[in-house]
Amino acid sequence: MNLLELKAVTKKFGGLTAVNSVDMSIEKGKIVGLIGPNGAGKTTLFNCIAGYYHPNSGEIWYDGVRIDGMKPHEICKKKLARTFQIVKILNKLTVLDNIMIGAFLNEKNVNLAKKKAKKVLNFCNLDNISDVKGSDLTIGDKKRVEVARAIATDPKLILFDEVMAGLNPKEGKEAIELIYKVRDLGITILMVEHVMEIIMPISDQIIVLNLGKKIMEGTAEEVSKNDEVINAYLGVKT
Amino acid sequence: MQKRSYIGWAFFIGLLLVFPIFVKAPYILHISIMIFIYTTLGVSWNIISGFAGQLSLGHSVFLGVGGYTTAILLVKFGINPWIGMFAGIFTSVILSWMIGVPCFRLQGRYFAIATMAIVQIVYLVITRWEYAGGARGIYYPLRNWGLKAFTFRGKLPYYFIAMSMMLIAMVVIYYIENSHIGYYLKTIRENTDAADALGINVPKYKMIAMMFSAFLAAISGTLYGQYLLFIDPDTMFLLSVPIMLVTIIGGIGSTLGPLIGAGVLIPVQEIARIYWSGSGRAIDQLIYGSLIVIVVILQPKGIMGMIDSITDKYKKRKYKLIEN
Repeated sequence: MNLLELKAVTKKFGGLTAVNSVDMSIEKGKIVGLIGPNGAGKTTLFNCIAGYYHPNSGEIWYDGVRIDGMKPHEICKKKLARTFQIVKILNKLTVLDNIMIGAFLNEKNVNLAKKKAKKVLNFCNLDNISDVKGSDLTIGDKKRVEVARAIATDPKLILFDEVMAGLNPKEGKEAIELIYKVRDLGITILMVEHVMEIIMPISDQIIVLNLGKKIMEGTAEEVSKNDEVINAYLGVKT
Repeated sequence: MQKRSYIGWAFFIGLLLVFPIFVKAPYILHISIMIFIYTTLGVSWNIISGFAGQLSLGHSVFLGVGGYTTAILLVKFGINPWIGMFAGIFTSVILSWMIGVPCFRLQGRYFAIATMAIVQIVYLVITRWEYAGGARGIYYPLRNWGLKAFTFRGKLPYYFIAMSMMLIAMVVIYYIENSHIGYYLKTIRENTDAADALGINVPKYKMIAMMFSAFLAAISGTLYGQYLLFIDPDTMFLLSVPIMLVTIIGGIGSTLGPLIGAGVLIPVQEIARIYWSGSGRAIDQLIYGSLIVIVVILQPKGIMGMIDSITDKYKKRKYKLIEN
């Protein structure tokens, strides 16, 4: 069964149709990449899935339950987590505290939540900065903390919104390793990314959006050879 | 709590208990009682405005509704003030629901405006409502004395009751801070989108904070009325600014802030009133105004903020060493 299913999802803002009748099926355990030019509607689609926007029409099904129209915190409780393009970690709290807040979703006891947060901390290689305040972190560490926090909510699927943006090559490699580790935990991943060298190799499936519509779907190889995708996004064939 | 904190608190409580044995001067006891009451009120405001980040600009209304409920039940119906105190808690919490349920779904600014409006509305209603004493206020009956009547001739019993309320407030704030509620409130304060993404029901937790806050304000209102043996709209509904100041000076959002702030501000306020009795009020306002300006410019995080920034500098250096 598909974990996440979108049927003709449409989102309009006044006269602008940001997401135009998009269909999508995500199988459990896969890493799926969502690519497309800026303004294609990727983040809007994420926001529809996560509950920040309600689609004007269409259906979103997650784990057998219809979730379009639900509030974001209810969707998170249904085990769908997300990260943000502009990192939203809590600057006044430490890294450990940040992750604990994710853990509290399923464990209200402070000591048990702390134990769980420490496990996630360790999983994401953040042990050495566990007591550092959010505001003092580098951008790479901030992104890793946001990922760790999402993992702490015990999701079945995580939406990664441009986790690679702003990372140097070394941090990028570490991020890829972390994504593989997340997948190995059994968590399904849907990620928006612009860095082709990163997203093409790691995705089992790639979905391409342009101007709100899904223009193509397939393996990385199929997508990179598709004319429409090349014209819209990857650059002119040489 | 760490073991060190337990010992510290035990020492502090012991000090407060033996203090009146050595110091019997009524005006010092009065200042102590006011410090306790304002600490409780400061903690009440801190929970909703400091921890949850929802600015309450008319916080005196929760104090006043609690106090007036107890007073009216006592004077008009002869109901025991201890029972009246629970009725006061009830009405104060109901009022907080009436404001919170519509406002907490929205951004914080609407709650701030609503509290500002509500306190004005209630103040004007009570002033024109003869049944509730109107502008002249309500004098408490001086028939029954003693613990059961919650009415005492000396200051000592009030001292111990006020101290107990302050300790209740500190227990409440410690419980909140060390439970998932505290972490959730801090998240809501800093970033509601992040809170949503982490499964936090934001309006629900804002309301939880508000109910704790209304509870503490209501019991303070009841005590304040029983202490003064007189209430009027001015006494009960115009205290929003000192309540905020006590917390802001001490350190908004910190556990000990209201206690430190009350310890600093109340003696200054009361001494100014006692020694400059004629022009006391004007000097009051002068001091308030200057303190607001000084705190906002030099250290918005208050006294606790000054302490924290010293420990933070040490932690920041540690991180930079790790990064390198």
